[in-house]
Amino acid sequence: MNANQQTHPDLYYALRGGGNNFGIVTKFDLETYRHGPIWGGTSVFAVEDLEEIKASAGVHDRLLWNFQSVTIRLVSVLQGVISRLGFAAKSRDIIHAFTNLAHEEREDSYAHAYIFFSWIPEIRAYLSGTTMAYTKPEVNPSTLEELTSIKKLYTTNRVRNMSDFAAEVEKMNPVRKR
Amino acid sequence: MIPGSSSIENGVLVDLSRMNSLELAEDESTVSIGPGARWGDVYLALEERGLLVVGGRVSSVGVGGLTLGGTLIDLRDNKKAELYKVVYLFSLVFMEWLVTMYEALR
Repeated sequence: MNANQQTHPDLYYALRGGGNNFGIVTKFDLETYRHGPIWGGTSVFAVEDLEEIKASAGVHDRLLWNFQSVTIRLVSVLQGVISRLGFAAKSRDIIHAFTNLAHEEREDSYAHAYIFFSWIPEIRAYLSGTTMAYTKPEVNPSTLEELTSIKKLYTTNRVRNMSDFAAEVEKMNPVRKR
Repeated sequence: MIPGSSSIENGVLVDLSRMNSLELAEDESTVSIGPGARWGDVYLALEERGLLVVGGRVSSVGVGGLTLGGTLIDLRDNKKAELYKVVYLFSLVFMEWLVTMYEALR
């Protein structure tokens, strides 16, 4: 039995997003596209205004002489050093660079990006970054310039095939830790 | 059958992970993919011919779950491997039954 726009369109509609409760799909026929390598990767930022934001939100890390508390202090000192050396970015700049992408005059169907601010319990610190993709082999495309120009600790931006990018996101999101 | 793993009450979960075939049409305009295939393998196979499909961003995610909009558990749990074999057999029987029913009703 086939379900598509012409044959059984109601079933086709129900199956897409309907979980798996409308039947067992034994085959998916997908349209292919001629496509070569794309540009993209993940960049990681050190956030320099995190302490200010925490203070304005009334969050204070009191120094207690236990492992966790000392770790928090060490990480924040390290972040301070990174900021002093000029390798850190302001969270506001990261968010603005991202939201500016939504402006109509910037519309570019090749560009894709998301940003993240993640809490890493192991080191009791926030990690911020962006994952970008440009579906052409064009290095540092102008649409994403504001995001790429933010100071970063490291980046994996490169021109590769889609399988390489899927493997990268896989590595950053291990099974059971997603 | 894996109790409590279906999204509906008394529902069943069917493991389709071994139905992971990939068949490219002669004119290469479409590709038929089994629901158990994973996106990473799909991309690798298509890239050899300079092709791509719209799919998932994470390589271990399965084609069936993402396309239909949902997944519940990790099917790579070795402790439950035997159980999944049973489920797989069951799925084949169930599909045969579905086909028979469909033919009969037509």
